[in-house]
Amino acid sequence: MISSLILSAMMAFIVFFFVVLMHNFAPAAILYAVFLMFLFVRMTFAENKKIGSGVIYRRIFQTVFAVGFCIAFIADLIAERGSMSITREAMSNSELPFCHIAIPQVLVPLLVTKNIIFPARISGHYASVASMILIWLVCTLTVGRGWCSWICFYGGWEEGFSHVAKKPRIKLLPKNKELREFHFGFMFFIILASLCELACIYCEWFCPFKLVTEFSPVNSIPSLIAAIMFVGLFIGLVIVLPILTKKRTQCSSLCPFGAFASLTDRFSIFQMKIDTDKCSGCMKCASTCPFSAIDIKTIQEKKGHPEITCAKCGECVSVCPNKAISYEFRFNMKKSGCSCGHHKNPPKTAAGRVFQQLLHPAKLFRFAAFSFAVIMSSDFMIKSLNLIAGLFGGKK
Amino acid sequence: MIKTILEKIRYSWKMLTTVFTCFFGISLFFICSSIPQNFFAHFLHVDPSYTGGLVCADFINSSEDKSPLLRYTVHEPVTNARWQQSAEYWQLDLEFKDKTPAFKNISIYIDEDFELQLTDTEGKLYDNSGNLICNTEYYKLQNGSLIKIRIPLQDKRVQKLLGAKQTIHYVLLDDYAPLTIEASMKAHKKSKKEEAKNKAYIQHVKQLYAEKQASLMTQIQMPQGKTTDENLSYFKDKINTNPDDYVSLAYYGSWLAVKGGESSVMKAVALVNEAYTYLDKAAELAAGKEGEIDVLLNRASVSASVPEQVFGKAAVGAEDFMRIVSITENETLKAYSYVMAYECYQKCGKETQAILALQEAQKMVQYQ
Repeated sequence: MISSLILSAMMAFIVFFFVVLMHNFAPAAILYAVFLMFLFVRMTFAENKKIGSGVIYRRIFQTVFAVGFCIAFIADLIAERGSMSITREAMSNSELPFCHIAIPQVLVPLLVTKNIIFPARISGHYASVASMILIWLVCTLTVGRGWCSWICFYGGWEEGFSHVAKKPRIKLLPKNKELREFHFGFMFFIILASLCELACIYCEWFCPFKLVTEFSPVNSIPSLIAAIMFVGLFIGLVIVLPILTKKRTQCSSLCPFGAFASLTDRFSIFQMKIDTDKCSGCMKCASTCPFSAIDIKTIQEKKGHPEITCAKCGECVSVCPNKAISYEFRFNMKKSGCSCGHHKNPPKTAAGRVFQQLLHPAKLFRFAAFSFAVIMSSDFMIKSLNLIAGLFGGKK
Repeated sequence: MIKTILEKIRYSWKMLTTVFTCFFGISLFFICSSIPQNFFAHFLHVDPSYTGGLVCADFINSSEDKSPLLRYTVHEPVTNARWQQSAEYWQLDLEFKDKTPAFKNISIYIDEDFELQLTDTEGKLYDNSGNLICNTEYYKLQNGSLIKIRIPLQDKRVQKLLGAKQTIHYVLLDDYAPLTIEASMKAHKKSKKEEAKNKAYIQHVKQLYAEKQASLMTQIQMPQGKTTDENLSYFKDKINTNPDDYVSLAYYGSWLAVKGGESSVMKAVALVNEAYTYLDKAAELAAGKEGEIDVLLNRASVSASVPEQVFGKAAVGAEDFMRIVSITENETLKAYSYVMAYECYQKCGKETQAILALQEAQKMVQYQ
């Protein structure tokens, strides 16, 4: 209880600074700050009551952020260029917004050619190459692939659609391994193709989120094919399949950043742990995991952790009847590691217990991921709230 | 025993760094992100095929004539470009002083073999007999102050440019005096010596200004050797006595910004925002009056020193410094203002204006 209060107070400080103060106490900023604090406080206290029950607030946040981001982003594009379609001026002036999905495609060519193969601003803009690469670096070192389930402003679309139906119509569980293999295979194909062509192939041909951000004008056969591809992929992988499978199909099969973040996740502080002694093998976690990161073999072989594609969303924690799954520090996962200060030595004083609760991996992870989410979302959400208020004739 | 102690120390260290990173590290990263971002940006470059090719020649028109052309840039021809209208093209940039240049026609003669005719909306390339070779890509950017021309290199007659070592450009703009630019067709790296020389020059001017600063300012009675809070209360009293005392308003705003620099990040943002309410009011009241320089210097200095990523005031600072240049007679202050305007322009990405400001400063104060 006290630890939740302390965490909420600390989060209030972050929200106040990045949302309210940075936006000069604008009404939309105050409204968004209240919404964020509601989510965080509810999540923290719910988790205190029942482990895993706060996951719904993450879902709400990510879905709202995805929609808000697209509204603000499209409004920005229309203000800058008059349409969502990429103009020749923007292309010739290297002014295309750079997003994290392009990172794996540009890194290898960057090492080879010493150039960024994307016509974006290098710095001085929220969607510039330097800022996105730095954010990715910090994210990798802290929450790792938790980006996909907590912060990604595209993933929220699938997050929302995957919770539309009550039960999955298609069960992907037996195909989880194949899905993961395809995901990594596709990422390597994209990286190689980008290197050969010296252009971001995924952005050009496959990215389904062009439908809700920006796209090339359809004025030739190749651009028509690309348009059919991205519209089809958005409908198929972002809307229909998530509804039918209750999985984030685009994130776990096509997104090159997702696969890349899975590979670099080993540098992050946190990892999910499966207590094999507590696990009864009910497979609820495996069928719930939206990223296909747990399958039958993971449980049968008693691996003690989900597969590499785990995005630390916490869905498995909430469904596990034996509470066998939890967040853990990566450095505690090593078998030879000491147990100093860990759960085995419970503190005797009340203050010690509060301190231990504050330093619990799940609490630290949620705090870090939510801080990231708050800071990343504030500008877009406030802009979109202002736009929505403007539509209804409200005061900005 | 020792192993256990070492393990405990290692564990404690890992916990400490983890806790710090999660609770404060992420926020601190975003607050200070402009510093690593700017550093990182030095090493990153967009592939030249997207940006128009490497720059071969860059002519900045700093002459006193009334020609609206400010800068003429020749790029290296690009081949195998991706995502562009033409895979092979040659880019020329024309930057103008005003945002909407009022010219009728521009003709650019290249090596007496080609004539590039530009109107307000399009560009056409002709051979020396007046036959049309091709239409060029024509982009009007920055509210019309920048025109980018991309000459497609598909036509055999133009392809000889790919192998050329040098081209000579005669730029004719309406009735203004023609400009002749010799452009090598191979890009060369920016000389580090020149950069170091510029840095030394800027330092020299700043030092010169610091020595003469006291004599350049209005003879306002300043509190001697007091703390920031005492200075603030001193000027606050003066403002309370006379709310339209614009010099005091400016100094009060300036000291508020100084206090912001001494405070925590949270307070700093609020204080700097508050400082600008005083500085802006002071600038408004001082327009065209005695003491305007003092007021503008205060606001411009604050604008030049606050983080651009957070406040975005560099452009305002540059404008203030340029206004000071136009109203002061003192050569040292003029040079200092040009140098500061150069830094502000660079901060807000106005490279051409930055170069011009530095060139003007160099005309005022010489340095070896």
